[in-house]
Amino acid sequence: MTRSTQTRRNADIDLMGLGGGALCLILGWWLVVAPWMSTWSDYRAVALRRAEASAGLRDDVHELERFQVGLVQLEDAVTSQSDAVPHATSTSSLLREMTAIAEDCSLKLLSVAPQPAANDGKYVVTDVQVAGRGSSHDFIRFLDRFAQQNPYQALRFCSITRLPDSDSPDCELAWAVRLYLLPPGTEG
Amino acid sequence: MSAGVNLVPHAFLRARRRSRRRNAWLAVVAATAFLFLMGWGGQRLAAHALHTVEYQVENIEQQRSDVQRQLLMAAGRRSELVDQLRTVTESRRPQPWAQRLTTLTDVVPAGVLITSIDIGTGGRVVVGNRRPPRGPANTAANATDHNLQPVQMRGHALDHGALIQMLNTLQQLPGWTQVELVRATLGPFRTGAAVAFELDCQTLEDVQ
Repeated sequence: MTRSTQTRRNADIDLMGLGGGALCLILGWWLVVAPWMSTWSDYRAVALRRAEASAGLRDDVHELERFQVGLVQLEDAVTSQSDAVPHATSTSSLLREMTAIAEDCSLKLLSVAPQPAANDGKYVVTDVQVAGRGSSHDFIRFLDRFAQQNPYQALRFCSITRLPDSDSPDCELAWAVRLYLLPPGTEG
Repeated sequence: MSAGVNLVPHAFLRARRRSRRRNAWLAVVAATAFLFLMGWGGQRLAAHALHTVEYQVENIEQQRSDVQRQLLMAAGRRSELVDQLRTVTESRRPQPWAQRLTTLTDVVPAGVLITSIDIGTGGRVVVGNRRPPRGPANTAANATDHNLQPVQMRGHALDHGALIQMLNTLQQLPGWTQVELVRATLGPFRTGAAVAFELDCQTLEDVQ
């Protein structure tokens, strides 16, 4: 028997072996290599997402901490500033304060007429009309002290008129101030 | 002299060769299958690990979305507080009049007696220079919003010179604008004669 005859007789085994190997390769590609490639690609995408999300979370947490520190400072500022601003319920004490300053400044008050409170945007405003008598210097002193004590008001009008045919330094005084008050519920 | 004779039947030899070849092929296929099996197992483990990482990412994204929601709330609270602070600080009004009247008494020249000052209720205007309410030039780039208050002054001056000096001085004072002489008439005053005058001015509320 020649060698070629022998080879032909073993060809069926080789064919089956090659077939088995090819089947293994196909199954391997389908079950292993393709899923590995897909997993690897997914992993890269997920890793990128995780890195981005982690960095974003870190930044956001840092931003939130910064915000919260700022908020605390802002709340403190609002509270301390609000405490200084008169509220709608404090009109009578402001009037007492104003008349006390006027008397301290040697002004004689003839009338004090607070007008009804009204809403003016974010504020409640009350105009107070006052008539009195005193020297212009005392009146300026009064304006200065009142402005220092309560800067949350504005002089709406004012009339200083020297008494006619008199050598006295006293003047007829009339003025109106507008008190700016914070509405109820805005207390610090 | 010796002679070798192969007594093993030829068919047996052939069957053994076939068997070896089949075993070789089986070994190759089995090794390949084993490698792939190992690969498949590794892939399953990797897929599981990937799921874990995905779960972590979802957690991080959930946390991030919570933090962002808190940030939004904090931003809302901040703008609310800024608004409150603005309201509170803007309720503090300019207080120019004590200083302004003090300056006025200081700069009134000798020979001028002011007998009355009336400060009126003003209104907001946009001004672009020292002489505010006239002309369309008020929309200039340096225009600002001011609250103007009219002031009327009456009094007596010894002569026109003193009156003009006072007029000039008033025009130079910061915060005073549109100083206009309305009336100046010479007439009797007490035991002699004096110029009775009336001035109309405008003042800027927020300039001392």
